[in-house]
Amino acid sequence: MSHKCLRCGKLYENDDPQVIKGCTCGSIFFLFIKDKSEMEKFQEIERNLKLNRTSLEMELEKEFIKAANEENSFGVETIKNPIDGVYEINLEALLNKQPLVILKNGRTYMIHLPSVFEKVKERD
Amino acid sequence: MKIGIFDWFLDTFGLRKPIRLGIYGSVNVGKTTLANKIALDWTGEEIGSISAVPHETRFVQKKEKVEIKHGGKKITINLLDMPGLATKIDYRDFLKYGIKRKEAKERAKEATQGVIEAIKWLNNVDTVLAVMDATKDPLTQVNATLLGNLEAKNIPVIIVINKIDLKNAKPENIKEMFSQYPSVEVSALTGKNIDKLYEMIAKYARR
Repeated sequence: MSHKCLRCGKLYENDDPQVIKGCTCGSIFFLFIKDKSEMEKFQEIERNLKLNRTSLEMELEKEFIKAANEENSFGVETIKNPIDGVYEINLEALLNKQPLVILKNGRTYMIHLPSVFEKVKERD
Repeated sequence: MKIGIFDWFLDTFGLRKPIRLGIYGSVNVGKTTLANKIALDWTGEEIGSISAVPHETRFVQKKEKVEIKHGGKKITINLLDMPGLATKIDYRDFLKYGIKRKEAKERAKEATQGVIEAIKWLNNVDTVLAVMDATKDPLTQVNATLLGNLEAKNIPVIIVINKIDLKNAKPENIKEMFSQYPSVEVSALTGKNIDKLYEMIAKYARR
């Protein structure tokens, strides 16, 4: 017979005055645990929740990495200028003489024509 | 090798074209410190200013007709100190050095132009000193892309493993990683092993 704080998880015995005053963490909400079997059931639920949370976190992390990789990938542009003062440079493309194309704010492409013509000349 | 009559003739009548030696590498690996050391040793003058703030060199800096003598061999080089290569330049990185926002944004813009300039100059260099920081992991996109491109262009490269005066320097990592290239371990700051670098330049630099 105990009370478990719903915020911090601290356990209090039935006769603990803190149950009336509220938990030391400030919460006044407790889960009443009747007996040992209920305690075990509760612990199992907690374990499952933790597992689910971990897999959700992993999923989120995967999504984050995917998004970050997409952010680093380049399309036709050789330089990205997502915000003023930040530049992402596709070194490999520029070293391979790809034309200078700047993607500004993720929506406007600026094409440096001389470098495009240079590339065309090279192909001919 | 001694300087022969043919060399004397070329040098006397100014017929020998200098080797264009480009100093390339990531940001803050000590390219300008190295360029200054070489220029100071052979001309008595430095080439540019150095700073702890990244992208201090944002324009190509030159020192022409630098004569390097080693083991009886004399070569003339045009020393080209390049802006640091980078894949991302963020003005916010400069703010922590006390640089104002507006100036930081301008610096980021110039640094990006510097990267483009450095890449363009690859068509006009004969030999490259690829400078790497011995305290950092050498397996970076900049190093891999640069070396791959130099190889494709058939430009001779000497890897300069810099900052060996620092306690946490691990030059063996770089040597191991890029064992197919000639390399030399130096401290551009203290001048340690700089003679070995001159030996390498005399041996490998060519037009």
